[in-house]
Amino acid sequence: MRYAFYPGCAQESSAREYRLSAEVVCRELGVELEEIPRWNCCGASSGHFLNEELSLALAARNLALAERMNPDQPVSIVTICPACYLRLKTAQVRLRNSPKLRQRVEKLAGLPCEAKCEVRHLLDVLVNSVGLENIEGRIRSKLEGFKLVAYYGCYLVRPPEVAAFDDPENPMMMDRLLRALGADVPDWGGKVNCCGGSLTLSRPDLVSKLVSDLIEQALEVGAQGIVVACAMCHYNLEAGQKRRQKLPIFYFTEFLSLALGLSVKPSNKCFIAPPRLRR
Amino acid sequence: MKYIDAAAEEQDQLFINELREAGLQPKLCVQCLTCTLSCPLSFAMDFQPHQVVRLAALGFKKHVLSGSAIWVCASCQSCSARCPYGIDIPRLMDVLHQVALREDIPAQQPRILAFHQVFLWCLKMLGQPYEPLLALLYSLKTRRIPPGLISQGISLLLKGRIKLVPIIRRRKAVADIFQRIKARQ
Repeated sequence: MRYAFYPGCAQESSAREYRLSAEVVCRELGVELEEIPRWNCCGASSGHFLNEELSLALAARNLALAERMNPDQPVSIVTICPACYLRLKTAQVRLRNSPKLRQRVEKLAGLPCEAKCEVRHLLDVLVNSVGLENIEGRIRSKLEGFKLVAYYGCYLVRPPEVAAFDDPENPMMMDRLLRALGADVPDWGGKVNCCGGSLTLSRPDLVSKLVSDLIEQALEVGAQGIVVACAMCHYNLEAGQKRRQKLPIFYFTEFLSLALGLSVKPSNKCFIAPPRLRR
Repeated sequence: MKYIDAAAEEQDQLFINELREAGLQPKLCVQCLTCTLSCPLSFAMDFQPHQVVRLAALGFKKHVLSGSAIWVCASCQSCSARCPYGIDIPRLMDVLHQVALREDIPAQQPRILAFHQVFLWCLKMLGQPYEPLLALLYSLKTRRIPPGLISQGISLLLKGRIKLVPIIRRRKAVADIFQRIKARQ
């Protein structure tokens, strides 16, 4: 399985361990990630907040570069960041639906873009293309004894017309993946609630309120940690916790690499130290 | 929830047309309140999301742009995912930010606007966001250091999650896109 890999900016700096763990997991599972040559930032929240054309043009340039990687048989783009995923996929859907818009955006992006590459999130690829049976067959140490809740946040499931790979109200893919790894994954009410996104700097009070509600809900079901698929959620959930008893936050790829017996373990770069993990 | 008396404002037909041309259909709204009840941040807004949609449908531009709702919205998409008429409310909010900026209407939440503006400056300068520069520019622009910023910045540095040397990525390609957009306007 070969994919055009879009790492995203956060995964190059504050969430480097997300990228590293995703890469070792993919190598082990035979998912070939080829980085899109000369990719650029998707503009994230601020792009679409202040300038829709900018947001579309930044995304379209990446779509165009991915198309050139294998012109005869376009490969799917894989991202690990849900915000990048939504930006790229929104641009792809809108450019496909409107030739007039496509023409305008191509001029701004500076490259012709047919929007023919599919855009997928790694969670979707692992669960639906690699398959849980295949992953289960490669587990070296089951994660028994861990009680974790799966947190999807917003952009893996919404808007459902764009991010359409799981149920928008009660997604189960990450739950099923963590269960396959042997973890105890209770149902909880916070799965698709918002963490406050890009309000981190400008309204930390609001982020803190949303995060506190999420932590309460996770503690209610006895979770020892929250598993996420987004660098922004990871940061907000860590930094927004105000209780003395803090819950560690993990990327789903970190747990996957642990169960597969790979070198990247849940990192010591977290603000909240994870409990000692058995190998 | 804030009671709105928009009787003093005239309906702005150009504004109504602009929203329609952007593909938005606030007129479909039947005020069922699903958006407002789904919104995780409605407690921090004066006008509620369903009021924003109504004001937009009626063309009460000054009113809708004067509230906090459009700035506080985190674009979590809960409202649009559940809207029975499929109104893209987060995109309506985005278009409203852009109208407010274009017409120099002051943001009710200047710090939220400031964050997004410095993010784009950073993008224009480096091609990608760089957290320390973002924090510095934001503090300068708002003339205030956000609470907890310094301690968190230090922990990020000590943990090696941010570097002292910024990463520059496709600076020229990104700046060219900014340039072409500016030239079109």
